[in-house]
Amino acid sequence: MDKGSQIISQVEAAARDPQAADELISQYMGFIKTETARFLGRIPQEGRDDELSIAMMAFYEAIKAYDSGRGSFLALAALSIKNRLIDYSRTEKRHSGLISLDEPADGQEGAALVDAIPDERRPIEEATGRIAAKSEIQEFSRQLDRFGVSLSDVADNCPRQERTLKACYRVLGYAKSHPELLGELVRTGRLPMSALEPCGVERKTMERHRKYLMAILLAYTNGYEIIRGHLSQMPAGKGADDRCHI
Amino acid sequence: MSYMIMETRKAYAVALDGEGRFMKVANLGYELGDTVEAVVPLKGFSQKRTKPGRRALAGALALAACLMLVCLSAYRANFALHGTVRISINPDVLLNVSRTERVLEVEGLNDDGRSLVEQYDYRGKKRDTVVGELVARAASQGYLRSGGEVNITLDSDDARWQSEAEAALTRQLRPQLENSGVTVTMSSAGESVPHTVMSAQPEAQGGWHNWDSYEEYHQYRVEHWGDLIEQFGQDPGGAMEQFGKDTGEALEQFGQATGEAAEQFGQAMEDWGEAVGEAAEDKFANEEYWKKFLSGGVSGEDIGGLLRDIWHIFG
Repeated sequence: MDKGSQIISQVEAAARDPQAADELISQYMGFIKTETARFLGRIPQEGRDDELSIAMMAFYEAIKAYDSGRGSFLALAALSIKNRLIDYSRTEKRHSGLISLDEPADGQEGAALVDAIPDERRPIEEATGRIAAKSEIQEFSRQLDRFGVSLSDVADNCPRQERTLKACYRVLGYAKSHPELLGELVRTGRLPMSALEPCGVERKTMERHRKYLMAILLAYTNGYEIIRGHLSQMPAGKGADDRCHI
Repeated sequence: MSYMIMETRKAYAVALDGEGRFMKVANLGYELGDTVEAVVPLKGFSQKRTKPGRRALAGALALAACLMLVCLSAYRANFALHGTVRISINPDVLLNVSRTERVLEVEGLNDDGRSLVEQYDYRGKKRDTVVGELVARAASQGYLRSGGEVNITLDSDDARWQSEAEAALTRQLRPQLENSGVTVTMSSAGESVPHTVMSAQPEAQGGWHNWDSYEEYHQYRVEHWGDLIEQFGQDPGGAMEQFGKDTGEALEQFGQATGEAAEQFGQAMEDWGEAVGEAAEDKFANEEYWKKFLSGGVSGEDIGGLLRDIWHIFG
């Protein structure tokens, strides 16, 4: 297999599988850094320059968009990175009037502005909360994996239109009022379509957004209080106390 | 809105917003469980090939739209009514005309008008040709005689079209009706009094000419002018005298119409024309005079003499 067809098959695999995408990005990190350096005029540093993160995302966008019949992948990736970095720099310019918290504070040699602001947060509680959230999200993700669904799939399957999102809220509202349906989801790992039909949402819509509905319904079963707390702005989700006991 | 980071990968992170939307965003060093206030969402960058059929259809539709536009413009210019020309002799005829001067319809407005346009084929003909042919047809059918009048009324929302039509029809009818004793008047719709564009002239020797078509009339002109040129070759002095008389008479008529002073001027011109004609006749009637030029045996002195003679005649 020559190099051209090898990269095409890698890109096609990466478009389907997030793990393969991560591997391809690691393999082409040099290329991504070169394109970013060309835009920045300096070598970007991983973990420090947001532009490099944006470039990696643009590379992934190119993976998802690539059509082998329309030319070289790397040319497309370079274009995608350049366009994304231009967009990002424009967005950043809008905030150019703001002062960075990393700026040095007046009269205090070596001290950053962020150090001069009184910190009202409780770092220990926040760290504990983050660990709890992380643990809950990992459990949520594992449960979805058991259903054969990844969070990346859920993001891809999430409704884009407001109207469809509202239809999904109706499904969730109906499921919450019938906790046995949530129990059935956890037990079988399948969305109980027929039982959800009385909610008034077309079966076709539910099938189209099946993975998203499974994730959002799963969040309203036992054990995901932090996620439900975050979903406070959902019309059908009224926070952690609104969980359904199954 | 706040976003909870649900998954982190090399190129992106999955974030959950407060309204329940899961989305892929740029991973700006996020960790699982982080809550952030702003994210850079992944965009649907599409390089997917448009279905060939759809692209061809879009191209065909665009082409069809362009063609329709062109056809509509062409239709409006050639087939939409832009103005009317009404010819009133005794037969009363109305022509519907397009912007490009195509005659769209010919309608007789009275019995004579209907009789005049009966079996007349106007299709594919221009306004000026149809007017010329209908006037000639009216003459040949006995509707228009010496002393008669042709009234033409133009009507259109386009004032420029009206003025151009008037000028073109005047150019068309003037040579056709000269020396026929016919008066031609024109008016625009809304103009209460028509204005004369051609006064009745005395009927030419040989009487009224009846032409059945514009081509026939054109042929007549060629022959007529050919005769005049021939006449000038045979009798230049007489031809010039006639020209002087004609010019003088025309100016005299003009003078009568415009006042006594102009009349005197016209008389003077007539006298001048006669004098010029007589002098020219005296000088150039001699065939020997011309033979010298026609044989090519002329010298510079001869040409100088000819110019001097002409100068004396007009002086």
